[in-house]
Amino acid sequence: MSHHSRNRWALRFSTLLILTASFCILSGALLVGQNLQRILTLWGESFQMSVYLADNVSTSTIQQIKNTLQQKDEIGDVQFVSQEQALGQFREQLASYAPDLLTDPDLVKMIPSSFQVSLNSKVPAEDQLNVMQKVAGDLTNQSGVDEVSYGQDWVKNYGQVIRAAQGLGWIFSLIIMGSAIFVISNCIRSSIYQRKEAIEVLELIGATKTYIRRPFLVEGIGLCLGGAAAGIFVTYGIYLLALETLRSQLAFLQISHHVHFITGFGILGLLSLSAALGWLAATVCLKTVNDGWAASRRVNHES
Amino acid sequence: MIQFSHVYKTYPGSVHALKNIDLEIDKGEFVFLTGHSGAGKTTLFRMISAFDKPTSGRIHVAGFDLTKLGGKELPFFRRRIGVIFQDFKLLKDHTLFENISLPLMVRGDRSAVIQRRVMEALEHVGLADKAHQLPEFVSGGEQQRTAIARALVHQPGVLIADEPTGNLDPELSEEIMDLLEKVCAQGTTVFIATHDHDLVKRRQKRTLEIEDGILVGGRK
Repeated sequence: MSHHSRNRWALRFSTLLILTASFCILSGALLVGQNLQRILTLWGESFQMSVYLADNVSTSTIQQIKNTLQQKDEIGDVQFVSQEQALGQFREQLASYAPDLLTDPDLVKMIPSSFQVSLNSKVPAEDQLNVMQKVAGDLTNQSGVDEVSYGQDWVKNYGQVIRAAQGLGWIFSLIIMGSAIFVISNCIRSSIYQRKEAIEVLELIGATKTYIRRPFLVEGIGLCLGGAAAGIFVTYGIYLLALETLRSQLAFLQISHHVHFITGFGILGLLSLSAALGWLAATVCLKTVNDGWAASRRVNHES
Repeated sequence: MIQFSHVYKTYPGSVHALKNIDLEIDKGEFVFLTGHSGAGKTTLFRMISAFDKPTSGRIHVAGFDLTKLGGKELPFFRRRIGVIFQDFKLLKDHTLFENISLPLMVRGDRSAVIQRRVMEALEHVGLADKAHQLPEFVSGGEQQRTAIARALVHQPGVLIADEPTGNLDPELSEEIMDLLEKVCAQGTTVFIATHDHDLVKRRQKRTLEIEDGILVGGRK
């Protein structure tokens, strides 16, 4: 094997290693992002809105409010809790803490009847805050409604976490993809430089641009696909280790059965993205190299 | 088949390599181009083979107007001609067989056709037994014969050769010239640059002479 050939293989190998690390980070970010989204969505599903009714509200008004709620697409489940049911629940929860309070005859006047409303599961996690605010705004002006409560602060923070995680994920992914293009471009540029005489000869005997560019494109796409496949494989190993830790040392979090590896579509997406990056990097490098006059340009430059 | 009309070539630094070249070579002609080293032979050949563009003037070769040749037509023109370069331009990491097969591969011939045609070309130039050697392990003369075989393997309409016998002994030079004459007899236009005046005298063919970029003799 010649010195040039050895150098070329060494460069390809180091490029493959860097690409593997890049795609490992990228697939890791996707893995964390997907699972974070899933866990936050699960927590989000427990969001409930309490629509407290005014005193002495009539049965027909209660029915009217129920109908209004059920007609909204964003609303999932609607449950009416009467004053007696609310009092019963309150007594159950506080029986051992404040037994004197439970015998107070005025207590029943303090606890209103209400509707317990949960959102439709189809509402995306990032939209839940807006939906809650909108529904609450609509209901506040409704006759017979005293107050609407949905844990405003918690929902707001939850929405911010989701949006921040998504934004960071995008920025992070763009940086990694930019780095991957830079690395693969360097490798292709080096290949082009080492094979520039071959490019000239091929041009002079009538090879088309497509014919000359094909091996470089294959090299770029192949390296990126190889790097992506290796990166996903390494990420899978890390996922198994993390899952084991969640099952044993962090079992109290009770999230191990909600954590899954990247979906088939996710893997396919990563591989397609890697192939596109390889193609893009190689195409950009080749654009100015092979225009049919490579030998002529060199001769004129040397003259 | 080859037509030059008021062709000039000037390299950066006001180096006038060709000055007002007018020439015409018919289909099936065998023509020598002679001149001292640096007279402009190689530049003239670069123009014919679309290796380079003229500064001004018009060049027609094998039905193509080379001054108007676009990027998409360029490879298809080059497939119509065969060029033997002075520095051979062989790929170092390809065997002699692979080097000769390139013109057939780039036009997409089937492997069976490539195998047959390349072996025939190798036999023509006496290198059949070295088909799988790399260029660096054969002599300069053998490299030159490989370049000749590559220029002929796709049966071009025009064969352009820049000093094709420069590295060969007299006996082999005559063999190669016989081969090129045979190719010409089959209808290929052959245009050869050489400074070997004895060879030119022996062959009794039309001869053009170039001096300081100006064609001084042999115009049609």
